[in-house]
Amino acid sequence: MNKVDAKRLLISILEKEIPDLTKEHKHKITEILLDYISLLNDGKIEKANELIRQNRDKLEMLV
Amino acid sequence: MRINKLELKNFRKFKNLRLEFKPGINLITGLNGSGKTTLLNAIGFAIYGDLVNGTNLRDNLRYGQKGQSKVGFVNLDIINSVNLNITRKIRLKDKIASQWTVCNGNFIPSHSDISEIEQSLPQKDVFFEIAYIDNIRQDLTDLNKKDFRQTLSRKMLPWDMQKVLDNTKALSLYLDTKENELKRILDGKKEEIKELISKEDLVSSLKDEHKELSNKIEEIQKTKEELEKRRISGEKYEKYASGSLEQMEKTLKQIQRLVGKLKIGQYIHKDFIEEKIVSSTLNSYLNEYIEKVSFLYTQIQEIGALLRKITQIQTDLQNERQKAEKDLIMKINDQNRNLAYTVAKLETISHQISISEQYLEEKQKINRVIMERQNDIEKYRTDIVIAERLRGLITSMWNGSISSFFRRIENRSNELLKLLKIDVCLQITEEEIVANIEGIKTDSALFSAGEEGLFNILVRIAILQELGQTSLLILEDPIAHFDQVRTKSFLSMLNSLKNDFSQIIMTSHSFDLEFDVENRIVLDP
Repeated sequence: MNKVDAKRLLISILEKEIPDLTKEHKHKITEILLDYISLLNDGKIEKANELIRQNRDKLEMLV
Repeated sequence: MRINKLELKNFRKFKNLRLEFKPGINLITGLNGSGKTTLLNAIGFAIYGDLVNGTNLRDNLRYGQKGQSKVGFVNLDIINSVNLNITRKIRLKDKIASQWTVCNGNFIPSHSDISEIEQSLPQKDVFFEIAYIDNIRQDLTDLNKKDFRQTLSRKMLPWDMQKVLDNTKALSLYLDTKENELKRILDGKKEEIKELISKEDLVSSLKDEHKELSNKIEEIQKTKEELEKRRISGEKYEKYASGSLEQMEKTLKQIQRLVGKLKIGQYIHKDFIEEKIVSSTLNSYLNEYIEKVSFLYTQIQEIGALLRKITQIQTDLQNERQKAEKDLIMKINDQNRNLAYTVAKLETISHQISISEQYLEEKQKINRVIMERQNDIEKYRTDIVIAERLRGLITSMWNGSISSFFRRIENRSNELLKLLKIDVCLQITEEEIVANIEGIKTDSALFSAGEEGLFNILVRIAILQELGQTSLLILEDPIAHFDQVRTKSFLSMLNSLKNDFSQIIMTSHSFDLEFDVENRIVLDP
């Protein structure tokens, strides 16, 4: 599974978890989440937190 | 990747053995005890450095007629993009067995670790291509191992998902730590504020005292001014009195001069009367003049008495003024001292107030810091909630990838089942696969030995197919529990797997297998 497939998988999970998300938000959040996972994969924990902070307004929809 | 040659010397039952393997299916047959499993174990020992059967190193040295051998080895020759030649040597000295490993001519210090061998090679992950299914009756619980899941996640997603999940926990911990750190700072600042609030009360009381002292100073100033006025007015009065006295003395002197003149006139008059040379006119004039002189004389008497009285008053006044001035000066001095003390006190209070006002400024600053920290804490709290949510999504994503993986395994396993072209009750489901991997006993526990063996081997082959990188498949007696029909079907299915695995090495104790293989090795008992 490459990153495109991973994105597809994430979008399907988001659709299941938060059905009322708009298409635009779904894609935006997925992009953020993919970057977030990449940072965590590289062990960059503080940068991952920074990413959350920068995109808090978009990610708060998940909460 | 494929095994080219295997050489054993003094390894278990083999004194000297050299075998060649070919691409495709290599079938090793022999009666029980002929050494089929030993051969597979030797391959496993060469590759992994582990003795798969769990025996002691020493026990793998051959026992001959003259006793146990002192030296033995397994040499494996592998054809790959980079060819490999691995020798695992066992040496016995003073009843202690030791192991030596040489890979492509390089001595490997730590003999039992694959990664050590890989470190010495330009190509990594070479052994990933080898799948050793050593005992098909074993269940699949070994697949539940963390490293297997990590491998799986690497295959399914472009990241190491176990690491990602571990780091989501590390991030939560980081956020918790940050939040607690900020809470500690906040508590400290609140303590500081408490202290400053008590200073605020002090400032208020100091300001009251300041006001009181300012009023007192004003009052002292007024009193002092009043006393000064009184002192000055006393001087004026004295001057006035002194001026009047002077004037009166002048007048007295003038009168005295006039009286003197009159006395002279009287004497002259007396002489004229005595000489009878005074006319009647002059006489009347002189009489009138004498009357005036008498009057003036009386007045002089009165003025003299007044003068004495004034002098007495002046003396009294002077004494009184001196006394009053002394009193006033004392009072003024008292007021001055009082003023100096009050001013000094006021200055001290002003200083204290300015210090206290600095505290108040500090309090405002701390209040701002408290607000900022509270905002930060709120942010971290939100971060924590978001991070938790993201972790949930990542876990779902991982599970989703694993789940889709198992769905594909299910499909592949059932395709393999179809290839067998036999009528079996066995149906391989995703739940069965997951349960087997998780080590949970389900309906599969009710399988016959043959069905369980078939289930396990099909699922394992399906997993290897799905992972896609395995080229060498080693099977230990996969057909041990199969009847003739199922054996035939299974072997036929194996033939169809040559596209997935470039080499299959399997053992069997059946000599009479009607089965086309590329290489058939028969071991003597």
